[in-house]
Amino acid sequence: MDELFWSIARTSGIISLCLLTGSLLLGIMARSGRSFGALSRYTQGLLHRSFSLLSLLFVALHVIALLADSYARVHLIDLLIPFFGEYRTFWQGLGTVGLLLMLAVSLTGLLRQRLSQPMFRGIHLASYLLRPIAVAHGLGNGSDAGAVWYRVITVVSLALVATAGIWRLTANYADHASARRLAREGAKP
Amino acid sequence: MTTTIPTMHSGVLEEPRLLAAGPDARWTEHLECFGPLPPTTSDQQILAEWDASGLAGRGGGAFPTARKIAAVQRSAARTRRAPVVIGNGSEGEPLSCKDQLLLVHAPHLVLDGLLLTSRILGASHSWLAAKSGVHPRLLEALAERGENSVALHATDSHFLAGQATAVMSSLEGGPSLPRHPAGHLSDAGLAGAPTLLVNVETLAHLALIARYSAAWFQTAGTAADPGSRLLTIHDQGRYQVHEVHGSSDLSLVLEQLQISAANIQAVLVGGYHGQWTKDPRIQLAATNDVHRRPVALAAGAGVIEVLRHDACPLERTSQIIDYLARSSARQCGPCLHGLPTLARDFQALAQRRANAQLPEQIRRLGALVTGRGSCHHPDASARLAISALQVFGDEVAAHRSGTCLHTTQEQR
Amino acid sequence: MSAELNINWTRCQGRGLCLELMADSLDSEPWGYPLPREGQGTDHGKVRVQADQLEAAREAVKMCPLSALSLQEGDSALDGQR
Repeated sequence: MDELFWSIARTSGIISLCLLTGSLLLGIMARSGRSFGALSRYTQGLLHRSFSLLSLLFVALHVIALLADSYARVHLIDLLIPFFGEYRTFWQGLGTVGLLLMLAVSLTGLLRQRLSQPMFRGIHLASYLLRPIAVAHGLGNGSDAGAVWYRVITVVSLALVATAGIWRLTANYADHASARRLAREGAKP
Repeated sequence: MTTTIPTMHSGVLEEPRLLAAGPDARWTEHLECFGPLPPTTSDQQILAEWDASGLAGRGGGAFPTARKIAAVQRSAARTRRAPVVIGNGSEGEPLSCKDQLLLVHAPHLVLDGLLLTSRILGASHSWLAAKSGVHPRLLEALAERGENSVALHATDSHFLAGQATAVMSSLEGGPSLPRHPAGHLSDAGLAGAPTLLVNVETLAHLALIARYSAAWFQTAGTAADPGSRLLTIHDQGRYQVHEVHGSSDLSLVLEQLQISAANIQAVLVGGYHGQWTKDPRIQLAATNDVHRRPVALAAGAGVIEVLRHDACPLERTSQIIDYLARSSARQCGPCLHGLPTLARDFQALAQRRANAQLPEQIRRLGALVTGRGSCHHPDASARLAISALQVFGDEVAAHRSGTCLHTTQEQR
Repeated sequence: MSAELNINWTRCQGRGLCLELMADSLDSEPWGYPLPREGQGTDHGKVRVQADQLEAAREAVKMCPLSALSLQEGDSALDGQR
């Protein structure tokens, strides 16, 4: 049985990370306010939310499977307090931090309309930290970290995120960016 | 203070009302001139007088003050929350000097109005918002009365800092910028309490009506615009402040101030958020009424600026619109982007750059920004631009062909 | 049944989701912010929402990334002036 739980834990962990990457990429696309062919702004928004929630779901599965697996020696306390576990303490601690952050971001996302904007934006910004933490956790704790296919996925997704990140910082990233800049030129006091 | 019926119902008041206690009136002079504050037993009567007076707000909005007070009372009763009263003396309009003047020379009338309203409404807090320059005088005035229930708040001096929700935001520790309206202030304003926010001149009038009655108040002004108002008049780089009847004839006021009609090209009525007129035979009223004769133009915060013949009206308007564009709170997209664009187009017109489309472009931009912001800044700024295009049609035509009717400036 | 869409301009960044969802009521303008189409705007700066656009409006309110939209449903004549 432990073997099964271990498998489920690994698979769901990897799927969650892929979905997280997808959500992040969609989030960066959505922030630009542009549509990309068939991917309308609305669709980007919907997919961003779905990917995020699914990612959380697979993390839940990942955590439950680990708790069930007696060989993994993960206890309930490890879900709440990072850097307390017995197996590769540091990397597992990262997993805990990632889980807690993910819960915070998801919760504020669901309650978005009821929260003040600064509070929502502040916590949502923390989602940028999620991916590095998750990737590090996977590389440090993951049993498949050494495998070639895992490394390929890691490098490819890192490249995609880096590209998106660089694009995010360019001057004409946002839709209407140049028209708005032109209009505002006269607004400086 | 006597209640003689004035011989003329227009123009500068024969006898001052707000400034009757003289310049820099101290507590003793104030009491000598106006008598003590009416006792609490007259509170119901005072409310009735305020209602009957027809007093409209003197901060630019011209909303019937009694209705505002009644709305706050209703909210307070309904929500069972004690209301808050805020006297707004922040005067963000750069051409307006009357609030500063009132706070320095007749602070006790303003405080009377504030304290009376707070008492009658059962307010939990009273605030007086004004620029820090007048705070020393206000603190003195409060000390003279031994009054410690009024809190002073220092406001910023930029244009929008005097806007109602901007004052509220500032009082709540936030930026002095307008907020998106979430219902009326009378329902939920400062920290969610029913809030009465009125201009300091309005408070001073309330203090006088409470003592002398609505009938007395109406011996000045007209039925449509009862009472008096303070008017700041700008001419050739200098200004004066006078108390005038409601619905005063502008031509009469200018005559009384010895500004010859022959020297006047145009008058800006209502300040930077106002309108132009070439014809001084209009009435300075609380609200616009272009269907009556003579035409009534809104005095706004009681500001007029005289434009003489040596100035180009389009250049002056362009200057003002530049200022208004820079004064944007920069929170709302259409205002942040639309106003500077409109300002640049107007500047091109003022600088006589040949482009036949400019007036039409300006009109379109004006329509684009109107109603698409969380406050009325873009609307009023657009209206000024349109007013200039309408009133100075001849000048616009001249500028389009590269000349100017009023200056000998080199074409840039 | 009529409804009014209220745009909180201090939050709106012109991301354009509402423009996609409510193409019949909203148009774009030079800087990407929503502009009510001819006859759709009220004089308070709100947007009139027809019955067939109601679902789309609700979705726009839910999905606006800045939470800049709110919908006031019900007979506006009964609500009176705001």
